[in-house]
Amino acid sequence: MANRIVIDPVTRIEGHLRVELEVKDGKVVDAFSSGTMVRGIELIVKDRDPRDVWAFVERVCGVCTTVHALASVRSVEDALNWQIPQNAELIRNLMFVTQMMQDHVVHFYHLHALDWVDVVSALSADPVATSNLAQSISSWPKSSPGYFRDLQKRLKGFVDSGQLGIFANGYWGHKAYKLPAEANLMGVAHYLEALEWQKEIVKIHAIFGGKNPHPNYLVGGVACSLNINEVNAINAERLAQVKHLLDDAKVFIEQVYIPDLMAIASFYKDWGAIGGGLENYLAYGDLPTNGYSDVSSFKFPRGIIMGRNLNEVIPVDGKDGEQIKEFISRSYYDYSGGNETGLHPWEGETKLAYSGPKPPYDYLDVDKKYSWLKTPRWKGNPMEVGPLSRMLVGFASGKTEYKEVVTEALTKLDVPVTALFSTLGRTAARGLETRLVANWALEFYDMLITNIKNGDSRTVNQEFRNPDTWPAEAKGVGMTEAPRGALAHWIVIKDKKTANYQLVVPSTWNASPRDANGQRSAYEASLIGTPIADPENPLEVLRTIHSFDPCLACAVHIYDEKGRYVHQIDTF
Amino acid sequence: MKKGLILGIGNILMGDEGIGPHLIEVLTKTGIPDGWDAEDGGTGGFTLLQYFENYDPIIMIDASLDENPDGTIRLVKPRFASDYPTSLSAHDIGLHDLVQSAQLLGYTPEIFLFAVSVSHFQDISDQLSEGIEDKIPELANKVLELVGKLEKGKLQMSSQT
Repeated sequence: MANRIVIDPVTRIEGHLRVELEVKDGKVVDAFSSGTMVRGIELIVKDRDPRDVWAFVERVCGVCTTVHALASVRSVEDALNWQIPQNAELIRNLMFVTQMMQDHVVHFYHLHALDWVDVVSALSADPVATSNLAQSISSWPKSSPGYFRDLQKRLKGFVDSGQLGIFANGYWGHKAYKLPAEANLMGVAHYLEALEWQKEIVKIHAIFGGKNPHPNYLVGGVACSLNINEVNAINAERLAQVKHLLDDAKVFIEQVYIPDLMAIASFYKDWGAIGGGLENYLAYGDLPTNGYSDVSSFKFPRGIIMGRNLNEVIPVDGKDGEQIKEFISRSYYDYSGGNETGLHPWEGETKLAYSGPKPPYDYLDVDKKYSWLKTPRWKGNPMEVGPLSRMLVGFASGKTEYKEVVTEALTKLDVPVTALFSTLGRTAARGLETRLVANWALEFYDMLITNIKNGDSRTVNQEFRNPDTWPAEAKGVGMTEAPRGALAHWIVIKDKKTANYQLVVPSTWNASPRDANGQRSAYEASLIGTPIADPENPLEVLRTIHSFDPCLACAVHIYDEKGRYVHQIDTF
Repeated sequence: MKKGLILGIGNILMGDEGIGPHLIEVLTKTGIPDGWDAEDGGTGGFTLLQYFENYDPIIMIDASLDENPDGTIRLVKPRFASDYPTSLSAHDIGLHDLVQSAQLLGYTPEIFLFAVSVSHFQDISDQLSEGIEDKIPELANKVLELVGKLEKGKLQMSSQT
């Protein structure tokens, strides 16, 4: 009997995101991913001063707050050919790596780990054995039997009070959990430590961007000044604080995150053959070390891998009208030139035309339009974006440090290279790039300090400050790598105003509906073949969806094929 | 250490859902009480945890989806995370999760929450609706009154000891 499973989550990036699945003989046979709420940011920024747009787009998400601001200021700079000083580039890089480290750690421990770690099982762990386990995989100091005993007591108190709270929504006891109790207790301990750590690292955003959670950006540079002796500037004391936070981050990532990731992965190697989905990977790249126009200087290289061929990296051009296009054949929009055409984002249109069922409804009409997400394609091909794409493009570009961390992880887990193309591969790639980023962070910091010592404290280029210097019409694209993947904003400036603005965000690539040719996007493709042991508790589906870091809290509803309500689980 | 924090939460791109940040903007212009800080918490998730560590008390302002007429202002003193009203702020990491996480870490500031009832249907807009905009002076007064009471309470307590 085919079961229909509906996952209807909520996200701030694109409103609600919902997945409907057909399950037969214990496996997913079809999947439909739908954005059920419209994102109207393109309409809000129309006619605004292009230099103000970042402050609006930054608000579309509360999790990756800085990435949209970065893409936005870059799009304007690109349109006006506005170069920024190297210090500004470095400070943007430092804010970027801060965002990525914080976001990836929060994702691993707070949004994804509980798909693998059973909190309730942790209550029965032996603190001495947990201590032995922790000390066998890492030199992290918080690993004594007493530490784990106290932690377990706290956890018991929390559970006994009936306030399971953030742990309330797991599938505790599900047979797909395979970790021993001690590994579960260690995982929970680090869940709490990660919570403490993440609130420290984001202080870097407040230092350079003035405030949290929505720091200041600036077209033409950064919104802070460098002066080691000035109280109100980025001075010696603040720089020392940044260094301290970056050092701590590297230690936490190397001694907690990575050992945990490897330990957990070693119990779930079968997930190295599940959830692969698409075979094409796209990364715009980022972290320039010689100006944004020198793509070859990027720490995250730009490029495309087709058909999992790691011997070739194909270039991608955001300005080529024939490469990236958005289609709406299955999306609730109308295009003036017809709904079967694809539009490059500079020509993009945002005319809302909802044609789905009137809520509340049981199922989407998946034979017709079924999503508020448009469907982006590169030369007609669906692409996966995210940490896995970045690691694969870096690996295929022949960069030594990528090869090193990837090979080390594969060897340690004793899995073949094909295990990269999977749910486990996606989750591992996120950790491995965090490791790289933690090192690069210190490089950027050192470069910044060297510049300051050499007397270069410029953080802004005022060249185009006066809009009278702008051409009557200009077009730009601002690309970056959000934690969740390739992100770009396209702007058309006319008469000093924003005439058109289009965002193609990572979740649009990954979570979009299929295209007119029936090609699935990444979420839908990755779920095909996923085993479902217990339709009442579809833990396996969440593992794969969460491996993309979909930035959402979700509620899972399960229906049988006649639409009978079977079960509803709220999950985080 | 500061006396306390006034924290506005919400998304300014979703119309009335942005009442919290809008109020902070107004208070910043008209004047924050001495010794207090005001922060625009926006749609921040776990980023906001640092405030739970560093301030006590915290006065929060957020939009609420409930059965009350639009613009109803309620002062709630949530004891458990489940006491927080249904909010339009479907923050990826919601207020519930945030407060529970703070408790787990042992941060237990006294929290007061001004919940402003707003309509379920919000246009994509950076403006407040007229009905909610009109409530801003009343809301600002209520927040400042509470600040006054809390300061008085603290003074009384310290004179007793």
